[in-house]
Amino acid sequence: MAASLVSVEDLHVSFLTEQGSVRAVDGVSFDLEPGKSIGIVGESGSGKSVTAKTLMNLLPSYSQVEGSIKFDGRDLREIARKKEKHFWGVEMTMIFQDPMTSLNPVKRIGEQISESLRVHMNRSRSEAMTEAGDLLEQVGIPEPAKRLRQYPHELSGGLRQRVVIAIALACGPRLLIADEPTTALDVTVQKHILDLLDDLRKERGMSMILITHDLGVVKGRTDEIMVMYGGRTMEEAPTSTLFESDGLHPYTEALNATIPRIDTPSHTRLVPIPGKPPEVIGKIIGCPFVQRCRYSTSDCLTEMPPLIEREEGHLCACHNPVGSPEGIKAREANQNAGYTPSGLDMKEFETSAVKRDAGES
Amino acid sequence: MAGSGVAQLRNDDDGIVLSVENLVMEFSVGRNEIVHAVSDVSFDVKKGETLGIVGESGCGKSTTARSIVQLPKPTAGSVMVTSESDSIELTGLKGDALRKVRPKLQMIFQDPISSLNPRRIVREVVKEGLTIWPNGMSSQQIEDRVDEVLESVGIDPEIAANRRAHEFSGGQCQRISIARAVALDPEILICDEPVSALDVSVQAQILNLLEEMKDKYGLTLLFISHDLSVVRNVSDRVVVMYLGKICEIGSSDTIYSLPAHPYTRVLLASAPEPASTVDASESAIGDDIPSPINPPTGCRFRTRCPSAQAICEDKEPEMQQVGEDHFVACHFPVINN
Repeated sequence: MAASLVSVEDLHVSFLTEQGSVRAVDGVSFDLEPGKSIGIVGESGSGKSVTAKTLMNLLPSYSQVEGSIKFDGRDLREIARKKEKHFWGVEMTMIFQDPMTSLNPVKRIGEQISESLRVHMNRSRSEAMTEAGDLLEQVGIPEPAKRLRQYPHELSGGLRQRVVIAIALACGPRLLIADEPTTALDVTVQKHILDLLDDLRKERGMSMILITHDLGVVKGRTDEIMVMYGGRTMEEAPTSTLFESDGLHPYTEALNATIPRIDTPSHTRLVPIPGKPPEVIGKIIGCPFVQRCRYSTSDCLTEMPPLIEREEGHLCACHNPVGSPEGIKAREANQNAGYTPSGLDMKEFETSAVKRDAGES
Repeated sequence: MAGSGVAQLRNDDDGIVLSVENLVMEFSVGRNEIVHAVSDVSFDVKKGETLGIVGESGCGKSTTARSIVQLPKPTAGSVMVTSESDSIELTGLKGDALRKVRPKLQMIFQDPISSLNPRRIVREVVKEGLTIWPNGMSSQQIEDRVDEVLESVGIDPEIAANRRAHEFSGGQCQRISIARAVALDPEILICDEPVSALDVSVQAQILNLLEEMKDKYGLTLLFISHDLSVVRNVSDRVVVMYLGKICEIGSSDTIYSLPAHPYTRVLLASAPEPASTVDASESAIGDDIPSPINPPTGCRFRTRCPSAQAICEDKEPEMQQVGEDHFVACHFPVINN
């Protein structure tokens, strides 16, 4: 295994609020090698964006961070304490969901791209502007010379996101974090932006963290996938391995079953995930998914399963993984009892509460 | 014209509940410029059917929904709502007459939290529609109706009815919005991106709930979404719109398994997990949607269309039938792929 570019170990992030301490990230570890990409998938509140913001040193002052994050062997806290101004924005950059709010509406595109080149790389105004034009060309914006003089509102959403990517790439980062980069865009544009990010990553040998709520976005795109829930890593595997099965973790399986597919006939009833996301205030004992899981046993209520390697390269944090003897046994036991140890009625998982026949057509 | 013509309209005695003909919606934006938001759109919906409308942002799908409920009134065209007793042409109605018809058409919106009044308790929010107009229900009957609809969407009225919207999650707020809409016993429920703001695990709950409500209250649904998979899942029939025009209309399994319009094919190929019926390379088109102030002549999709030819610039394609319940507005539709 090559030396990791990013190494996150047992990261805990919590926010102090009047109601108590909110756990956003609760013991997350992962490694990212140079030139590789990882997709972090999870629903809102799973801690995926907070993980990214911790890496970018963008957390508010009332947050508490424990655990270690190393970038190329260096401790991020050390870098933050020394206030190294040429780290964030140069070595590590980030793009966000909404391209309109990431750009300054009253500055021209050219100025916004060349700003970081001038600040970080000591380029002169004219050098920076020339490079900005080149960057626009690299991200696939036609007529770069004209675009440099335009304002963000004159561009479509897709072009704006390309400008944001150009800004992020300006100083040649080694790690790019993309937090839901296409969620605000139309499908036709979404694909182009994701393909562009892929190409640029390969061209530049850059590492990338792609954060999304949509399993489909990372499928066939990133090298690894990490599925998060309730601030914890539920499952981590090479992308192809994860999609060969529908996931070893009951949460991944449930996510896969709950998403409508473009190739399944109309009125296929979706399998909902019953219950609601876990409470985030106070300490969770046991697995955060236990309230919604049909594979749960009484152990799951009291003991958080460790993230262990179930198959080669395939990590899963579950006492009763899908398809394992324990998993099959637990599910049968719950089925026979009619409810899970957390008191969830097994009927909630049934797909046929109401018939959804194929309609008239 | 791309998406013009009424060949797709079905015979009137087939139990049509909503019939939209040649709907046009234009907004003046000053200096003699006009935004052509919806141009000559026609479709109909049968009782108990779900019609999905899909397209990119700016294609006019939400504007179509709003002009059906006359918010605001369309520039031209007709919107006919038929119930057991009578047919009503909505565009000709004003004031009280229009308000009397409105309970038949209810809407739910994308952002469930902002569509509920934060200062009022849930019971008042759901009850309001029932108390606006004298409908012969006693106050006890109204209370019972509120309890009934809240229960049917999975909200316990005992616990929830005296709370305010901010105490609920997004999924629960969407359930309350649905309860508010069905409380008036509407004919047609218009859902404008009802699950786009929700997490996927909650999305499935709401989509299943909509199907349950449709069965229970005999609703007809107009379902608008940009998400192709969601539209396929809920719809009996699908309309694909582009820049204010209909490209293709047909039964949803036909549209997804035999897409005939180049734009439909592009959409299906662009999905994160592309549909198996199209080749992923078909997604290669420009990002820029032309301005609806100055839409392209002829077929509006021609500027991004992979199979555009000279005729597409000169002549707008008429809606033509290409299969059983399958209509497409294109000079070069892909047939029998």
